[in-house]
Amino acid sequence: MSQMTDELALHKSIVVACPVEHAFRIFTERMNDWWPYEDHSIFGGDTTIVWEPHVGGRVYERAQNGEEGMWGTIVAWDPPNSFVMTWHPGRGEETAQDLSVTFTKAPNGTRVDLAHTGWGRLGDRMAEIGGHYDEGWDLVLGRFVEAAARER
Amino acid sequence: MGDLARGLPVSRPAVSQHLRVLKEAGLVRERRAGTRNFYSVDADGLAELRAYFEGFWDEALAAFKAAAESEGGNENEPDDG
Repeated sequence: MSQMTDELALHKSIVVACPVEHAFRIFTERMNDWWPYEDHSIFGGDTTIVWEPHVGGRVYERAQNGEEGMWGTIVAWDPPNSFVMTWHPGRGEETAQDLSVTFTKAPNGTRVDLAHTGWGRLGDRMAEIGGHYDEGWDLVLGRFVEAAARER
Repeated sequence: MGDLARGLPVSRPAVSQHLRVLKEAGLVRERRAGTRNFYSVDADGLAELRAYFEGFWDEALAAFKAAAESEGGNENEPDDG
């Protein structure tokens, strides 16, 4: 599945005309100002995105009625240069991928590099579960249990 | 199952729960045969998910850029002290 990883990894770059510190702040603590949550959120409009800005902190969505929906967990936190988080909005953490965003000083502001990876791992997880289906449930279950234990 | 699952920290109900999540996410398919349930990878689901995020990040980053450049700190000089 490593080939799949290479083929599927998503990389995006953009340059914004502002200092690195400002870009990092807008991206994280001010995400509510720009995130297109009307179309891309668990609860739709009238939702609040909450960051717990530290390693192990949660990034989640909170609806008006207090209901919460996880987006992921911060695994690296180095403001204003970078952060890494698990990424599974609207999905169980069993299907978590990785989101890495770095903020680098550029001639005209800040270059933001976003990497959305872990597709191969997701595929591996699926294959562990489904790849041996013809050998029966017990074997499939065993492989899955091994995979789950390995990744703890 | 006893041989395979020995000493491992995931219960059968937990595995069922994981599989349910994957199925709801469109990432595996379930097929019943007699008393058994068979699961297989839904490759289309993975491709669809990736295609969604491919377009999504373009949209989100464009919105981020607009916000970052309009909410103060929008000078072109990155060195603001």
